Amino acid sequence: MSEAPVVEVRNISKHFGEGPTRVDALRDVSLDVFPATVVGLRGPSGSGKSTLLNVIGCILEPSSGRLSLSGEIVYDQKWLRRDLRRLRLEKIGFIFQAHNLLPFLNAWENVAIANILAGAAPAAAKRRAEELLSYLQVDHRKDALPAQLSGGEAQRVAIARALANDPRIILADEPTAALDSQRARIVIDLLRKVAIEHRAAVIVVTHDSKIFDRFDHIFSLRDGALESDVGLAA
Amino acid sequence: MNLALKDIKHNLGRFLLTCVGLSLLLGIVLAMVGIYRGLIDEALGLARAARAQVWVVEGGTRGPFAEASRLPGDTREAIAAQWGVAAAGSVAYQNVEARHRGEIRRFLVVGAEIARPGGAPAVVEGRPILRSRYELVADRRAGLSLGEQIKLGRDTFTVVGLTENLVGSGGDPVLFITLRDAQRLQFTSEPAAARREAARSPGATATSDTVNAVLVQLLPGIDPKAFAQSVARWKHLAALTHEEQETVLSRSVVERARRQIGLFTSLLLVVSTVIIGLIIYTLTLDKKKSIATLKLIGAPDTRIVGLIVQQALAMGIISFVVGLGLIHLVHGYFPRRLLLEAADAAALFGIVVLVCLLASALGVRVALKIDPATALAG
Repeated sequence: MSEAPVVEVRNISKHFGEGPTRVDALRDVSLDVFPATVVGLRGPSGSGKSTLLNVIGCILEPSSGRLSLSGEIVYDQKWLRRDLRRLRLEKIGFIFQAHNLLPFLNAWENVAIANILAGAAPAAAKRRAEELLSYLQVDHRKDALPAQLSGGEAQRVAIARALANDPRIILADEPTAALDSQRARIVIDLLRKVAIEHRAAVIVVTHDSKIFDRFDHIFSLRDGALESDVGLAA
Repeated sequence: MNLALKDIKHNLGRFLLTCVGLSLLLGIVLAMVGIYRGLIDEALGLARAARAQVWVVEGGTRGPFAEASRLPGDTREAIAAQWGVAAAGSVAYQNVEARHRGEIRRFLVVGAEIARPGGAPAVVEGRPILRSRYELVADRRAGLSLGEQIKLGRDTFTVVGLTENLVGSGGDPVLFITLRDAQRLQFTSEPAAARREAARSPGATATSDTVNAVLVQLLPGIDPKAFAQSVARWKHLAALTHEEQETVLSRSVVERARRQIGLFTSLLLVVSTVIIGLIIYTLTLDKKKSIATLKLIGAPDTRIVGLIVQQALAMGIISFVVGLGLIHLVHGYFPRRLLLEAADAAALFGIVVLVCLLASALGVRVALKIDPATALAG
């Protein structure tokens, strides 16, 4: 692949505790994720999937290694960026298992909040939110509160929120866990569409074997180490 | 987009119910402060109404309100003859219970000389006392109406005038009668008791020409303090300036009440702080997932702190305004006079704001400790 990777993980390790209580959550993990690709991250519970997602999301500091996002080295034995909050806001979109929409905001406000936090004017943020909801075909529910949305609608709104600031990286933690297999496939196909049209790298943590065929690559983790890199749709 | 307001709107019922409870609490705080102010005003009202610059009382006492003071009736003439005195009047104070419309009522009866210091101040309805016997000017709170008659001791008095907001430090409404009537009320025994006293001490003549204080108004340019000091040189007399009398009234007479009310007010404010703190803490715990999500998508700490502090302030301010409105509505039904001063309300508002900031500290601490990674944890 000629394009530079959007996510470049090099020899990342992460351990918790020291001495006899030491737990190695990640061992020397290296992987690249390119633009316009959707990759899966699978593995049994405790294999280090969430830890790796937290490291790539700049929520958790690795113990060693190097991490580059969109060509910028953000970690090399220490954080090189002080303002990780801003980095997350500008470069990363998060999609959660339970959609995590703010219950006190309606659909368009849930999308617009990400834009407003990045400094957009409220009117511009609202326009952008409506565009995204329309793109994800859920604009007819823009005034509904999360509690009034179906699981699929809520997940689409969550995807719209993740796209609000045009991120180059989308991290999705079990986004299909609460959906049936048909809806799960729809969501992954939607993420693929987003990845292609926005030139974004999408990393999906999943246990759901029914959607494995929808990914460009599958990375398998076991005991904190990368087991295999299986190319699929690509 | 104001997240605090959006969250309040989402949990409107719970928020409003909390505000109602808190407003009752803050209403009680306001009532306490109002009662205290009313107590001071009532205690000082009678002294202020007397329009005296110097109070001449029995030597060695701080009477007539703080302790008993008895002076010979002719003291007024001796004081009035002093250089610099514009007017002087004798007064007698006594608490009286009387049956009125089938109920036993308590009054503070003031005996004063007609057209001399100490008599009824502004009469809002009717006229002042003009006849030397059996006329009475009553405060409206006594529940008497013009022309009505009431029996005090052995005599029956007719109400000729009404005053407003004049009660004793114990809250009893004030009745003004002439000094002569007051002395008769205070010192004339029941016939049987008088006969017994005459039989025990034949030839002894007890005088009833006794007063509690002499109130003095001075000519312009005369220093009340210097005049009081010159009077105090007479060994059997003591003298207080009006300012000293107010200090005695506000410090000594209502001091215990002031401390009690101060204690309850402080306790209620502490309880309010704890309640606001716990509610904000609970609301913050309820929002843990939302706060983690906000942090994860890049919300700065100031935004999270703002969400919590604004909710605490909204709760305190709304409750304060509702409490204030409530007290304004019901203050007429309180058994004691409730005097709500704007300065007190403003000070309490400031305290409520501080209390809210203090109470939100616990919620802010919890919010700042929330790990954004918890948003990813299913």
